[in-house]
Amino acid sequence: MIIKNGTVYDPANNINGEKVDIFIEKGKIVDESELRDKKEIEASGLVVLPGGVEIHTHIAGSKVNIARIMRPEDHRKDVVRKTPYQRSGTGYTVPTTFTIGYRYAEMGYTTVWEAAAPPLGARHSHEELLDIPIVDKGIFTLMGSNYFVLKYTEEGEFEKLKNFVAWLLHATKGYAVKIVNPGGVESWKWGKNVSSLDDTVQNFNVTPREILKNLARAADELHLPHSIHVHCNNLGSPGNYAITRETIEMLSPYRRHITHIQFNSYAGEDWGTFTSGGSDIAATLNKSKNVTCDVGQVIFGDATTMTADGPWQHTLFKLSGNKWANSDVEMETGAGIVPYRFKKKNVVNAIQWSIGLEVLLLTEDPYKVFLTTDHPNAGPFYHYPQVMELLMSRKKREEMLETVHPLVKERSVLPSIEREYSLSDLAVVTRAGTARALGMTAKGHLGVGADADISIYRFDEEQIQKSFQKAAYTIKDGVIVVKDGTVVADHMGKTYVLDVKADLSEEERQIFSKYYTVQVSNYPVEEAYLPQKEVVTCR
Amino acid sequence: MLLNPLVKTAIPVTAPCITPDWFSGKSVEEVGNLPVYYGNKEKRLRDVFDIKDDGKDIITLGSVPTVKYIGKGMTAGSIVIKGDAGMHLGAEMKGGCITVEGNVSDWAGAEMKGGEIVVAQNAGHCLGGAYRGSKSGMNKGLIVVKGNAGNEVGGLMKKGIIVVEGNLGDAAGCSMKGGTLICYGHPGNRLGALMQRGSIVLYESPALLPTFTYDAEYNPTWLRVFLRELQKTPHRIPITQNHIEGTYRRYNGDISELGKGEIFVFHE
Ligand SMILES: [Zn+2]
Repeated sequence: MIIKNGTVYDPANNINGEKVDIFIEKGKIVDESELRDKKEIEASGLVVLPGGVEIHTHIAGSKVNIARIMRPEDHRKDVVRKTPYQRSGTGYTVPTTFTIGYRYAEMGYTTVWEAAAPPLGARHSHEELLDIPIVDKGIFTLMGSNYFVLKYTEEGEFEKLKNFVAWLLHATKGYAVKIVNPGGVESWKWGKNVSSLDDTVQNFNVTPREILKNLARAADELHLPHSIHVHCNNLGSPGNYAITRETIEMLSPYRRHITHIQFNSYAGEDWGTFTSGGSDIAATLNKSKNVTCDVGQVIFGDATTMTADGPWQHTLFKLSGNKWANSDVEMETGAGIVPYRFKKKNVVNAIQWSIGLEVLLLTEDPYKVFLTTDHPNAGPFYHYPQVMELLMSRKKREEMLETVHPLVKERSVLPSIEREYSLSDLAVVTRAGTARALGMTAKGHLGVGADADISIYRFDEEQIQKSFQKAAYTIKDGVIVVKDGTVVADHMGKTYVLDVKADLSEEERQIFSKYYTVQVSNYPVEEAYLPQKEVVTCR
Repeated sequence: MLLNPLVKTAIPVTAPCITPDWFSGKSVEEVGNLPVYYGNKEKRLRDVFDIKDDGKDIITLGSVPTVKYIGKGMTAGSIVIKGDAGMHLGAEMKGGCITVEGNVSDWAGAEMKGGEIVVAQNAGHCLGGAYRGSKSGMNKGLIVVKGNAGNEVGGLMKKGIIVVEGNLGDAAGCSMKGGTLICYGHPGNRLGALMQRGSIVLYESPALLPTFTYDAEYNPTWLRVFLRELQKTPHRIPITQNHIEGTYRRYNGDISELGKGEIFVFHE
């Protein structure tokens, strides 16, 4: 296939709005000389980008499913009928598996990562991933409050820890080390939390600082393609930007990804004095190396908050008065779910909204900061085009600022920010940057050898949101899966796993059989759950 | 407009378009073109109904026990059903009046915000209720059922009036947050379970949950005024002078919740 005469933005290969033809053969981008299939897509006047790469979303697994069960009112307002190529389903904040795949593809996204799989729930996560069509996918494995991680950190047994991390990634078919409120989730099992990097975790003589450093070092020494993926302590609390900054700084020189950083960039003492710490966090990002983050941009309207951060979810339940589910995953982690609505006229919500944009706009290097809504925590993923418009147009930002709580103008620097994203910047924060941070070499660019995951848009500067909402074409593995914003083909993506191999020691097996409700032999996710896998080597 | 079903079928027809709001100003041809679902197949109204213009603004239907969502969200006007009606009748309606001369199925008047529904025979479950996950059910409006009603009548009801002249099923007024539920027949089990606020008025003695406590026997002033107003409606609700002037035993609950709900049992 040839994509002819398109205006190509491929920042990873320094192509910024040039007319370049793209040649596709057997699902890969190839040199013109290797082209056999001469089918053409006429793309003159259209913008051609690499397929979108989502770095952090919650789409599969136990807590997503608890949220689905918990929120029938959410499905009722967004019903999706079947088409010849699409199964029926529902939205809104917690869509059905199939609808998730379709909606990502319609927007031009072709790779998505489930950002928090409890090891015991990994099989469930993979089962659901199998029902998410079109996109490539995979999971990050939760480790920040795992019994063995805490035990080896306490004992100073780094090699054992590293071996366990490798084994757990192998057993869960995970791709990265996810850390949520390190130590806090363990303490929550006793109704407690941690609030600084040097607090002691309940029943273990370890601190969040030690957990983070050990796991960051393990991820680096195991040469995992993605760094540790950190949901910091004190998420959601006023004044938490300090601990976020400290986390970023103390983890140097290890690689680290701070996720949904908006929720961790709050200044002020309490809810009354709540202000933005976004510019401070952006300054920290600007001067730090080996750090990336995604923002978790707030979308006004309904959201469903779901995270392994059980103590925070309990706080949010108390704050909002909404319904709440709590889950305890033996030996490993926990989770909480609370529906939430972000309101324009709520001063805290409005400032939260401004913070995500501040971080995106004030961080100079777009390879350090990525666009997410931490779906569905800050809003559904299919509202990304709203954010893209705000990033690319100061005028739209000003219009929006007029509709939100007026205190935003005093408590955030957003009104004074002049920067407008170029299409190249946008391609970095949604594609090239995320793919690089994830260590996915065949994604996020359009060079020879890359996967033929391509999105093509009818771009109109006056209607940026509309332009990105529905792709003119989404091409996945060289197949046209979306045309004019509608799914036109059934396609199954791959699950990404690592080639890490490790075994448990006899002692670990004994602990396992003594304390787990599952036999260790039944614990690892079987190959049957990965009918189409892509194995990534760690080196 | 006169609508008569073309075939007798067990297949559910989803027809939220049957409302005065959608019909107003449209010709028979245009009305016939409105979309409906016959099972899971999209069809036109004329594929399912024989439509005639009788020159009246009232929409009159034959017996339509499998047609769902009639009068959904309507804001004004009248619908008369000369027989049975299907599920979700008048769901989320805001105004106007629906009269059913036969029985109505489940979820009639669910989450309605105004208007009236009058049922000559029996009603199904979740009458004036809240859809699963919603924070509140019926929120203003009046429902009168001449026969019996099913389970969970007025679940999560917030405002408005439900009158059931026959018996109630189980868990009537469960999680009620406000409004008034009146029953002239026998109330079912677990009446008012989890209710926070609101009033239930009974004329037969109930088997109350242990989370309701007896307060006093008296003639509530508000109820006197309320029943007098209700007497003025054209629905011939069987309110007697005794009901207005007599005494009621008041219980409050559900004390496992807020406990500000009240159940009045007519004494004499
Ligand atoms: Zn998340």
